[in-house]
Amino acid sequence: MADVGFEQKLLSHSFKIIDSHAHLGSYSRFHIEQGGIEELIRQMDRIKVEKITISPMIGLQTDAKLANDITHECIKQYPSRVLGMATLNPNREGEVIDELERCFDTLGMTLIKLHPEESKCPMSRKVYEKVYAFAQERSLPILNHDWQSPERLAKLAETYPAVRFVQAHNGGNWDGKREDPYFDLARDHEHIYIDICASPIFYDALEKLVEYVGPKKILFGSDAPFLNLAFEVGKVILSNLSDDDKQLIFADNFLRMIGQE
Amino acid sequence: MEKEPLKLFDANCMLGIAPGDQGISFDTMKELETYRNRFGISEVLVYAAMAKYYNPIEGNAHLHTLIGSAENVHTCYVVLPSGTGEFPMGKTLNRLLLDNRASAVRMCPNTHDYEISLWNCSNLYEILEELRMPLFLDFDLQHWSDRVPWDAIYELCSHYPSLPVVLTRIGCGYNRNLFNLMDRCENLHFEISYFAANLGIETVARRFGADRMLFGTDAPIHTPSCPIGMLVYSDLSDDEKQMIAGGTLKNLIGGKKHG
Repeated sequence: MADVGFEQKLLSHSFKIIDSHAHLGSYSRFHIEQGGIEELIRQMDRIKVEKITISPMIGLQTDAKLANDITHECIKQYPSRVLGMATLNPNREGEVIDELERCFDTLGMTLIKLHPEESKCPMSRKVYEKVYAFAQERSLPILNHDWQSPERLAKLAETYPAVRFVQAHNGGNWDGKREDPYFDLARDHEHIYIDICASPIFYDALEKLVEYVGPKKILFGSDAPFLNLAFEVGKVILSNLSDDDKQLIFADNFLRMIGQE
Repeated sequence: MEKEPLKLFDANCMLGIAPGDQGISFDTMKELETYRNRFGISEVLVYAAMAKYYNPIEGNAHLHTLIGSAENVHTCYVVLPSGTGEFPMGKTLNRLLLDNRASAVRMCPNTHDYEISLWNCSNLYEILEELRMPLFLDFDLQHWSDRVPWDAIYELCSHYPSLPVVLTRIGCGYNRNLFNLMDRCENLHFEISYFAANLGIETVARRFGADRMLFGTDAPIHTPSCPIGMLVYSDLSDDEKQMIAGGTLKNLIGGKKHG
């Protein structure tokens, strides 16, 4: 047997890790053990994750404003460890711009989070045009659970050139085989990214993804505490990628995307 | 004193060509060895792709051809219920498992399209319980929201309390059923390849014991990197980590726990 080096690789890593896609709190469909910020910070310390970008799960299905308040409190409590995503209730169209202004003028958010599935508001609705226009005006990134159409995303990237668009999960759920038009978009369009937070994770799929898309358009995200932070960090550290590529995925790409290189 | 390195015993690994494979499968022992060396897998329990995706009898026999005399590679036989006569039962099955030194068996009720209820499988369970043979249940779970037949699992575990049962690919979405079942059925275990729950293995270890979980990977379909990362970074003692990494499976195979 070869030398067993997996523990050393994991426990002694020196990567700068910034989690671009995480949450906070509970979830209706299954139990989450200790989903609060204190426990997340404990895990980050143990795994050596520098920062985490959160959107509390209460904002995805019910109360977006409350979620943004919670995020703000976490940023205040852990200013060097927590970044915030503004959540919205797109069904209440009249409140969208006011809440976005509050998030970015007062609460210190870094990007916008959309989840059309949990919000029960499909991406075909016109209300989202207000969100895109706001993001364009302020050059903000938008992380979306699913843009629900590669064609829509391609068109948006052309129409709103100051916005950076993230298609969440696709890089993680990928089985390493099927064709995915979002990968072509990420590869070909400067402002389109994909993140890799997901379960399940297929064998050597991350390596194939980097080969196809290139290492500069892939973002590390964990979905914690919806999923397990260590589970997601492990897949990058123990992959067959070069350390340079791992570092791009773990933090550098995200920092470039949010303008904090 | 320097800590002993974790010794990983993969409880969920497939040998042979998977459907849709584009070259990642462990066709031979050479690929399995490459995999073990890459991830530091000390021992592995394997079942045959041919047994799951074609024919259990031919696949189980083929597994021995593939493994040959390789060390630290243990066999898991894929089994079927008795109704059709296509799979041996009774003393014949007993001899088949013992003579071929099967370390565990695996049922694939979704792939093979049958119910695991007692009315369909009690003949099989009686033999397995007599042998204290670990039974892996493979429901082909692809996502944490896929349905699991919890009632049938409860019926199985409670009727055959000396039969060690291991659920494979249990995801983060099952705790509301899984925990009560773990509490009621001491012979129920699960492998952690897909258990990406926040503080999941820590919670199970605290409530039910680390010896209810088995390290597994589902390689070569899914990556071992995730369960390895989750185990190494977990907030568990070294003893608990080693129990999950390989101790639980060794105990089950050795029959130490159940008889």
